[in-house]
Amino acid sequence: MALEDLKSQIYHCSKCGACRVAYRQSLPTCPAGEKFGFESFFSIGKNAIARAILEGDLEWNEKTAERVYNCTLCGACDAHCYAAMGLHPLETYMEMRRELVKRGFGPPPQVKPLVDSTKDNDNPFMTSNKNRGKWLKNKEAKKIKPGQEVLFFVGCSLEFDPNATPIAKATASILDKAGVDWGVLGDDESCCGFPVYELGCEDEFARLARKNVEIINKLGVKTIIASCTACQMVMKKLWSKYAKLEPEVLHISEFSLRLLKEGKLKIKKEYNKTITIHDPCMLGRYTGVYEEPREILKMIPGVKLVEMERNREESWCCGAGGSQVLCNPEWASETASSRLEEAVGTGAKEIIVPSCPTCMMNFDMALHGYANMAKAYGKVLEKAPVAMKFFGAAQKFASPFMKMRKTADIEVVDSTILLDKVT
Amino acid sequence: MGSSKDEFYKEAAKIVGEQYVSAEREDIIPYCRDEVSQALKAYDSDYVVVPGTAEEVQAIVKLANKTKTPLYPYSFGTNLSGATSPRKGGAVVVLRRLNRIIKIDEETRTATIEPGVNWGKLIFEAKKVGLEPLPLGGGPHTGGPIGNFNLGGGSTGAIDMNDVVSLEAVLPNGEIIRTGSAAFQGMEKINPYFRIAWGPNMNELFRGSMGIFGIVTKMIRRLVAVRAIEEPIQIAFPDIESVVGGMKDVTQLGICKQIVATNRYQTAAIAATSDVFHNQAEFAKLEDSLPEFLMMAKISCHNEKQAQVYRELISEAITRNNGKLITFEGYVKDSLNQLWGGSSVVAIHYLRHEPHLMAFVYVPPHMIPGAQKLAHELLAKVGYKMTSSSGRTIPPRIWLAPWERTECFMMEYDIEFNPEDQDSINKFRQFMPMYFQETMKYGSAQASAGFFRQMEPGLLPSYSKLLRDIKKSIDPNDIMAPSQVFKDL
Repeated sequence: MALEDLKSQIYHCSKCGACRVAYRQSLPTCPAGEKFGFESFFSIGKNAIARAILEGDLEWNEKTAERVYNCTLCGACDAHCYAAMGLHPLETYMEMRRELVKRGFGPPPQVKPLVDSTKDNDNPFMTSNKNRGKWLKNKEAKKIKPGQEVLFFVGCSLEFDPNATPIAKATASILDKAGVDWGVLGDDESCCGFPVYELGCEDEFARLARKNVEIINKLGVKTIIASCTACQMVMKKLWSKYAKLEPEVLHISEFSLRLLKEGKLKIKKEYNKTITIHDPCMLGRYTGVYEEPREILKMIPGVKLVEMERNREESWCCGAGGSQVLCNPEWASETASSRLEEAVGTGAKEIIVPSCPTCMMNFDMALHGYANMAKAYGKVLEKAPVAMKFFGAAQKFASPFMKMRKTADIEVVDSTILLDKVT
Repeated sequence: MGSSKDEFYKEAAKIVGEQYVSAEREDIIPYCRDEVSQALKAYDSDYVVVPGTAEEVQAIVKLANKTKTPLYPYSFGTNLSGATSPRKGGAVVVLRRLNRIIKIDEETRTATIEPGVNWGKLIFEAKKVGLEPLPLGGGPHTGGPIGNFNLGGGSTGAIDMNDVVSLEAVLPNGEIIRTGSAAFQGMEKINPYFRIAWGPNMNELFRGSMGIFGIVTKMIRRLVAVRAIEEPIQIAFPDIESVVGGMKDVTQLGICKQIVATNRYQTAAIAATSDVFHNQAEFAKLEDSLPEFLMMAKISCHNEKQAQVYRELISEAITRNNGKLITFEGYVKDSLNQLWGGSSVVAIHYLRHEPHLMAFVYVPPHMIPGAQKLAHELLAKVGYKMTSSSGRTIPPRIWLAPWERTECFMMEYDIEFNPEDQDSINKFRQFMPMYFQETMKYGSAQASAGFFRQMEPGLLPSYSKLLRDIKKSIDPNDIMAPSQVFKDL
């Protein structure tokens, strides 16, 4: 694939602007465009840049990279453009990222340590894969065995980010309660590849895709569960570019609903709260899973679910995607603050996130500051002087939400942890 | 090319903030090419500046006069026809940060809006209090009422399209003008709701002006009530004569909120989901299932009793003209309901085909069939061919609507070109001037939007001179959108 191959997509942008606004309420949908103000940061403008490059009016350089990488890859532009125009602009921006990497203008310096770690360790957390499974009581016992049908693909965040590990534990607990015979890859699990994919490092992504698929296909499992929205998306949609994955892939919310409907998992407790739900981009817009988490919440007695104005394919991104939580943490927390404000506006006391460790981390930063994030990404940040500049100065960091409101106005709750509580 | 070392850049940065001015080509190029202009000459501006308030706009205009920098206003940015192209360089003034709905007034049924407000947002907010604007016959939700007004558009329907009550604009010399009763000092907040201060309706100076007389920074626009029954009645017609007759008779009943019609190929383009649009066989099936012309007459009634009377009146009028009531199912029903419901994402579907020029004709109803014939003859003359997603060669897609009250109907042809095929672009370019000149012979403008340069030779010299004199007197430095309308101004 080259930019030239996407010429038809690029030339058929009519500049209608559907990529910029949600189509039911006409509220903003593009965090980058809203933040940086110029068309060049909206889909419409990146498309114009791509065309100008194809026609020799612009060159690949740092300025192109700035506009292409300052994007959360939330896919709102893509969803709206497809509904309106039948085009998929996101393909163009991903190709632009790949081209920038080939030409030495990407990835951004803030995340180079993450890419290096992925090359060296098969995960972006600068640690050995031998450290996987520490959250399990008996790591060896849970290693997947021949004949087991369900593989829990844990993912790097749930393994190595101490803030996200409770999601892994809750997933395990739900699987156990439902009597599912499951296992993990343990040391054999490698990063799904999304962090390098989204930065345009295609070769590295291809290597990880092939490696994971080869190991998983040999196991003969029927179903793979992921409690990370990025992992499930990559397994469902992206690995197939390089290797065919045999088992079906489900996000934990899809699998949990199946278990509830089959009666294998039972809700035993009430949850008397008014809540709202955030649609993580990788789960919603990328893989079309909107209703399953809602169906589960509606099954819980006492729950009053209220929707935010921008929901489902119109959802406003948490702001962390496209590695912005590392590249532009301040902007990422502004975007998250905007979403939290929208949630507060519904009257809900909790915003439920269908298991996405990245959304959780970013909302946490907007609610409580950067401390938890520093715990998760400390090693990566130490190696990235640009990012450290922000985090070093961020001892007193306060997001727009923290400045305007009290944390108590809203809490962010992971859906799997909530389901574990009530079952 | 502009530079951050230029006086304009440095001063503009002081006015709007460094982050809202740019001389980078990466930031400039996206403002310089739109759907139709990609077939025409590409222009470049030197700067892009994004003011956040009317006062900042005012300061930028004063700066432009001082530095002799041309300015090209750009509102929400759904620009399709090259009307914001910076033909003489200078700065594109992006107004999207002026995005407030300042007030929705239930007593006067008006909305006070800024240029960065789009149709979709205005509809969404107005409906919360039981009101709605009448948008461009179901046009794209991403377009803005002020931008559409400046390009010459407005509502198409059976209700008076002159929906602008008063406005605020920054004149080319940097002074702020308010029109209507807001022109009386101190009245902009107390009573800006009467359209005339004295004499001519000054709002009209800015309609279709493409920014040459100033930058509109605020507008008070009429809204209409959303009633208990809002019913789009759909009628099938077998040919152009029947639909024109039916539309004339229904419009003259004076009972419809909106009336619009599309031909088979326009209806198909709009009704199809993107999945169907990309499936040749499915799209062909859809085309086959639709009537030659589909008219929508929306009634807005307080109760069922009123609606029943209206339905009967419409039924009689359409029966006289070979029309038949029609309903749809599935995605076609959903799409059309969205379209008839006001500006929506569905309205953008008509852009999916190929980039196109909306070639208009505004003539009394009886001249519409002749106008269609004329367009077909011109297309044949240049060897023009248009293909739909079904792979079939089709005639141009058509919108038809009563314009203003009923004096004239608007017929819009969507004349397409393939942006990757130079031959197709050449034929498109050959057709355009021929079409403008021929339709002008029948007194048909292009709704004031653009193309004045091609049309000026056909106007009375006295008319042309008056327009030019106004421009010269209020813009002696030729700051506002030079060459956008007049070749030499």
